[in-house]
Amino acid sequence: MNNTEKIDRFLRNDLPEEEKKAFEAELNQNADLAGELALQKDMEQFLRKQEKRTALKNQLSNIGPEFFQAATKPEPGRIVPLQRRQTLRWVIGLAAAIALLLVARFVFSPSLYDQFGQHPPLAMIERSTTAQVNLAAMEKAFNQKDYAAALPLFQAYLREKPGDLEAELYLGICLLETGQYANARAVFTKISQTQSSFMDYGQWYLALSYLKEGDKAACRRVLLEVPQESEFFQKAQDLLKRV
Amino acid sequence: MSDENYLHALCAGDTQRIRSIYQQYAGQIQRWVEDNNGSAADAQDLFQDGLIAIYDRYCGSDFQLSSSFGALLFGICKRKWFDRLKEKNRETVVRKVEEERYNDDHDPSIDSEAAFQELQKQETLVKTFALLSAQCQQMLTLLGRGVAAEQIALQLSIANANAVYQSKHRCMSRWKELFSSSSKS
Repeated sequence: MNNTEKIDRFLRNDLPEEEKKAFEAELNQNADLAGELALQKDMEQFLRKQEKRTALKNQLSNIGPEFFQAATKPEPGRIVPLQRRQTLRWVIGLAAAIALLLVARFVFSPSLYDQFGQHPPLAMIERSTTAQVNLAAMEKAFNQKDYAAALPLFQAYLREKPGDLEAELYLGICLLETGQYANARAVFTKISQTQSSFMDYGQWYLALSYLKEGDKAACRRVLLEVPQESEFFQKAQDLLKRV
Repeated sequence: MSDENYLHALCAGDTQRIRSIYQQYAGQIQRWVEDNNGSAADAQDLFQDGLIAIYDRYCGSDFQLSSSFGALLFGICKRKWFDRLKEKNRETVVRKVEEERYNDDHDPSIDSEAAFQELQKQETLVKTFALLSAQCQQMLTLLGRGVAAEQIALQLSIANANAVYQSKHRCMSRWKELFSSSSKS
């Protein structure tokens, strides 16, 4: 067993008691090994935080320009009146256009559900399966938003592979998109109660199901329960402000 | 808004409240940078790096904020700017060191230095992680998300959970090599 493996298993608490003790004793003696342990801990921490860190950087790059502006240089000389009047006409035209755009954005703005209900694309094709289910057709139907067509395909797949949480999640999304709210919620609730990487999705989609149905109070209630560790915490906070 | 609130806003990625951090400190830092041969764009970069450094050191870690948020942020920005000037080999002397602006009995430069070092380390991790194979990156990212090894095996067509860990060890060893040679240079 090389150091990397030993350290990894130590960090995952996967070493048998005796080896663990020997490893701890070695750590006290061997500064290089302790250094490697520290580095691997840093790497694990990096892996846990990297996606959030990248998101934060993007967020900051968007906010930054609002607050840092190059000092505006004073205008050189006076402007010829005619040119100024033309400029003024331009400015008025532009202002009118912007106002119109703002109104249009308000009138035609997509619903909150459309803004927040962005589904992760489905990639099932690499799964092993029998010939009974056409994974390619399932993927295609879902990714083309043909939820009515995708729904029976997911149901068939799950008959064959019950307990596949990812497929269940997508089944729930199909139910939600076809307006079968109660059934969709049963699926999302179940997923949110598992201890799996999909639990955050279950909870988030539960909130979305209320949003889509127009039950804002219930939507808020679910959003308030989204814990800070959830992948969807930030989105939940954003949505809470707007519901 | 209190210092803890600033920190919390940053850790949570709360856009509205992060804006108030900019509101509060951007002007001061821009003036300082412009007084020291930098532009508004430099100031914006520094400010962003400063916030990321604070994120790296304080979010999800046990370290407590012991100096004021503003003093810490300003300290990191200055440290980074000195570094940039040195890199560019400019003969510029940074004129003003305005720590007196903050009457704080805790010396913020120690915390600033620590956060700056943490930022450097994280940037090296980012750089070297990007040099790993796509398979390594994908697998380590999934592990970092907390996805179970069984699930990863399925998703990446790896035989089983055990093989996922074997491959994790190879990836981590390679990453450690890359990191060490990169921080030596």
